[in-house]
Amino acid sequence: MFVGLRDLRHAWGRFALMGSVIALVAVLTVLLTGLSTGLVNSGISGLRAMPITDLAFQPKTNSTFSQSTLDAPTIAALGRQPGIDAEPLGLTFFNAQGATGTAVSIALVGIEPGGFMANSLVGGSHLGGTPAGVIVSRGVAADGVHVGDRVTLTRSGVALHVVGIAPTATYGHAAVVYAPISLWRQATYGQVTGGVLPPSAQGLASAAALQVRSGVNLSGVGKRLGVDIVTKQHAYAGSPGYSAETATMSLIIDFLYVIAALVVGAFFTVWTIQRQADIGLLTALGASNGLVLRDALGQVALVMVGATATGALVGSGVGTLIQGGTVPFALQADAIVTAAVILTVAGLAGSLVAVRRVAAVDPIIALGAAS
Amino acid sequence: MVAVVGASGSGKSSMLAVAGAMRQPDSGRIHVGGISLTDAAASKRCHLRHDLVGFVFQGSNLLASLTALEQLELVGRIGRAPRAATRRKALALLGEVGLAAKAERRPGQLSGGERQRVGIARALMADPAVLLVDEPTSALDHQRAIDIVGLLVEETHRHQIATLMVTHDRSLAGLADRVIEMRDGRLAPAAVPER
Repeated sequence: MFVGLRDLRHAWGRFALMGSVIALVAVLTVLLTGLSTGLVNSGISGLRAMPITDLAFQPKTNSTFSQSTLDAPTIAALGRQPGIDAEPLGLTFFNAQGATGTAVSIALVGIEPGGFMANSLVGGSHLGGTPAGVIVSRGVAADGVHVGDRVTLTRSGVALHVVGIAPTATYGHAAVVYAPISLWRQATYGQVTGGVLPPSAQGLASAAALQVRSGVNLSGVGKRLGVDIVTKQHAYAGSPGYSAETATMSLIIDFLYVIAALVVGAFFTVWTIQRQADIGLLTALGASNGLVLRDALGQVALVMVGATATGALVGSGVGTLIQGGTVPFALQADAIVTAAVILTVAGLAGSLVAVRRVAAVDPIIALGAAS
Repeated sequence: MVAVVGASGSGKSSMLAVAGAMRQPDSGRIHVGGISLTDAAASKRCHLRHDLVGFVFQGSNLLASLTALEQLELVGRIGRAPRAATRRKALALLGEVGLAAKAERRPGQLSGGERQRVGIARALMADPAVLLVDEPTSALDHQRAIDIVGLLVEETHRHQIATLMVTHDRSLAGLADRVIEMRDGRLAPAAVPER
C-alpha cells in the first residue's frame, strides 16, 4: 500500500470528510443496535431468563400467553413424558398501583413455588411463603416499589405483598412480577369476580414450562397431548410487538449498511476516476493489476476500519449516556462488534465496484498525461 | 541516443507505446533489447515495462502525493527490490540529476525542470536496457529544455543504455547521437544535421 498510504496522507481532507460520513453511519448503527438490543431485552428478557428449553401452548395461539390456556391434567401429562419436566406457567399483563399510588404496568408471571422455575428465577427468595407474596424484578423496584410494600392490581383489586426483589426481567415492555401460580390464577381469572377464583379456573395456566432432554420427539408428544410445543427462542415471537419491533430495527440497520456501501462506492468511484492518470502511470511503470488493486483496496480498508472504529467508539460513548434511562437501550459488545464488521464489509463491497475500474485503466494514458 | 522527430500524428507516440510494451502492434514484429514483444501476454508485458524499459514522460508525470525520493522508491517497490538497497540507489540517482537536496520535496514544490529530472532518475531506477523518452521538454523554456536533453545524453552514456527520444523540437533533436524522422508511420532520413 505504498501509494495508497501516501495518498491518504496527502489528500487527508478528502478522506477525513469521507471518513466522517462513515463514522456518522457507524454512530447511528451502534445507537440503533443498542436500541434494538434494548427493545429485545424489554420484550423478552423475562422469558429468556427462564430455565427452560421449550414451552407448550394451547394449539393455534401463536405462542401468545394471553391467548393460550392449558389445564392441569395436560401439564401433568407433559411432565410424565420420559425426558420432560413440566411446570405450569402463567403470564398476564396488569395495571397496578404501588403503595404511594404510583401506577405501574406489570407482567405477572405465575410459577410453582419450589419448582425448577422458582429455584432459578427467584433463587433464595421465599415465593409461596405467604399466599399473596410476590417477588418483583428491579424494573418495578425502580418505580418506587420496595420490599414490604403492597401492590394492588386494578380492576380485580387483588393485593400483592412484595417479599423480595429479583434481577431485571421484562416481558412485552412490562416489568415482571413473580407470583405463586395460585395467586396468578386468582388475579387472572378472578378479575371479574373481585379476586375470587371460579371453580372452572382451578389448575389452569397460560402454558407449560418445559425442560426437555435431548432425543425427545416433541412433535409426537405435542400431537398426542394436543398442545403446540415450541422452543423458548421461537416463543419470543409471542411477545407483544416483538416481531414488528425487531423487524423494523433490522430493516433500519440494514438500510444503513446499504447506505454505507453506496456512499463508499460513490466516493471511491469518483476517487478512482480522478486517479486514472496516476493508475495509468503505475501500470506504465510495470505495476501489475494485482498490485494496483491491493493498493486501492488496502486504502479503502484502512479508511473503513478507521472510520468505523471511531464511529463505534463515539456511538458507544453516547450509548453509555443513554443506557439506564427511560429509553430501552442496551450496549452489548458482541452486537456492536458484529455491526461494525458488517458495516466495514458493506463499505468494502461497495468500493469493489469502484476499485474494479482500476484494473481496466490502460497504461497508454500515461503517455498522454502531460501535467 | 536516438532522437525521433516528426509532425503531430506521424506515429511517434504510437511507436513509443509499442516499444514500451503498452500496446500490441497491429502488424509486423517488435523486438526491444533482443526480446520479442510481438505476442507477449499482458502479464509478461507488465514485467517488461518494469525490467526492460524506462519511461520519461511528457511533463514528468509524477505522483502528487509522493516525494521525489518516493517517486524513485516506488519503482523498487513495484519490482519487490529490498527497501534499503532501493533507498540507497534512489538517493544516488537523485544525486546524479542534481536533486539530492530536494529528495523530500513533492512535485508541487519543484520547478518544471526539477520535476523532469526526477522523472529521468525514476526511469533509470530499474536499470533498463532501453530508455523511452516522450517529448521531455514540452513544458519547459528553451534553456531548461537544453539542460534536460543534455542530462539525458549524459545519463545515457553513463548508464550505457539505449535511449529513444521523441520530440517535435528539431533543435533539441540535434543534441542526440543520431536523429531519424518519422513520416506517416515510417522512418525517413533526418531533416536535421546529426551531431
